[in-house]
Amino acid sequence: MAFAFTLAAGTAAVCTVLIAGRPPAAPLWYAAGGYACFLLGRIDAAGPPPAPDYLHTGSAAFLSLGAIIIARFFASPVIILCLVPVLAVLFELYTQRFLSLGRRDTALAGIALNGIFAVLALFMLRADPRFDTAALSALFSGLAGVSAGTIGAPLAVIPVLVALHVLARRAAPELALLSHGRSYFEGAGLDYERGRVALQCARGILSSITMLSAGWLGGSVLIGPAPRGAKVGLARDLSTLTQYLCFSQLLLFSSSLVGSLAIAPLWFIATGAYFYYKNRWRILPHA
Amino acid sequence: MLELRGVRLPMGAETPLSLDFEAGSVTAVIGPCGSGKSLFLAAIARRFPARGDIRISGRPLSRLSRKEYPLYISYFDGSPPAEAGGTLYDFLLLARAHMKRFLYPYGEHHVQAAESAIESFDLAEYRTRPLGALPSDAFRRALIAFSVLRDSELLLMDDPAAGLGIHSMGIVQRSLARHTMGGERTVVFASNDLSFAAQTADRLLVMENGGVAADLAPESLDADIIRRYFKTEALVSRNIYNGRPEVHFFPGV
Repeated sequence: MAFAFTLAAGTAAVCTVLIAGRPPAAPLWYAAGGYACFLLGRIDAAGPPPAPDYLHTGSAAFLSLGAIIIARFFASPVIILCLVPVLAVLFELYTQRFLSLGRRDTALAGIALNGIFAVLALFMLRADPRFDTAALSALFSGLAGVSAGTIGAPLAVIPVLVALHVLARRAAPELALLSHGRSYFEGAGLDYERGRVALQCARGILSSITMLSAGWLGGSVLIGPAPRGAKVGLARDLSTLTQYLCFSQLLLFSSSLVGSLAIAPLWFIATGAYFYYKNRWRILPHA
Repeated sequence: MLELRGVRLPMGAETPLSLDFEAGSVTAVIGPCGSGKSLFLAAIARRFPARGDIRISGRPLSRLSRKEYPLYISYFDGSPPAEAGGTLYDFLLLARAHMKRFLYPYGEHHVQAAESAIESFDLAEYRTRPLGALPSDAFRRALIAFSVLRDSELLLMDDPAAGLGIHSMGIVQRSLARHTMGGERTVVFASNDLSFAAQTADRLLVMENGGVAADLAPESLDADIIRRYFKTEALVSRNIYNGRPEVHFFPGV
């Protein structure tokens, strides 16, 4: 199965370059985005369900708004690339640490944030001539969409993600203890506050990499969450990863043909509907 | 092994606590509701800074580093894990996390210890089940097994018998006896079940208003003591196998 998904991902990437005419950096950026989104689900897998991805927590909306505001003041894309991870970490710390939102409240707050972004985006499309459909399309499809830079940049990001994946697998017992709560984590001689902050920072970094690499097309909730629990076999891990990569490449190819302005909202709605359908009893237990 | 000198619980106790607990002993802390049993254990477990001097194996409790803490103290307060998604086996293996290096896998002896705990606590049939899918009795046993598996020098347990059936109580009793058999591990548990406490422990501490009102051998537990400290009438019989007290209450009285 993993081989089939890998083959499909490779085929989609080749088609994106040869048929859609995108530079080779584009599928590499989407691969990085898909990998980062997989890791986001991987570290969430030790925690309680539901586990909304970066789209449905509102992180993507928040980072998009942040990128728009930064772009108003700074013309340099390098500054946007540097500040977006900071914003992502601050978002995680604010929602998870300061507000201490549970999973359910996070999902509900995500609806609100995405709604706010949708309204603001529509308003800016009408009111600001600098913010046109091309800009919105670039926002939705990330660096892959603008095909920024050479293949060197995504090739530098992917080994970092591989290292984080290895770290996440090695630290699976500690992540599981963290999800069990303070008494269990501290009972093992670990600092609970530091562990939580480290996890939230990791979520922020991975959200920002996903957002920068693949925009709003990194979410893969339709695949389902990464296998739950502390102990996940390597084969199953890699199988899930290849699914993420396959979906991300297919999304890139389809957005290259149809445009990310059409694909991104459709993907968002589809993943959101599936997520809330699967978790409706937890999110709205009395519904 | 465990020494308390001048320890005052935040309950306005008149006299401070000064107690010694020998290595290899099992001590039950009993007393009426609100007497300070849980607070006593929480103070030793360093859940809050208690006034006085508490030493474990000669080391001041306040000087134990975060990394050393689980080697000395394992505290069972009955709280379930916030997330019960992993299997029972995975959960029990986590009890040994403090014994391995960060980012390193578990050693074979840790795996063997987890397997042994599964057998000892009669959890073999639930080995691969998600923790949250266990029956309540087995779930409770799993939580106790987790704290025992930590293999700390001092095992503190707050009402381990609560929610357990007869079969599970026997398992826990035998496990605690095995745990202290080598003379290196010490168990202190609080219990509202006087029969369980008398059958399991080598020593009974009766708490009252944050202080120790009586320090007894289990065989000394009788109806007068129960009437004096628990303000209730009971019949205390003797177990025909080991001669230890068994407490019976009069229904409807």
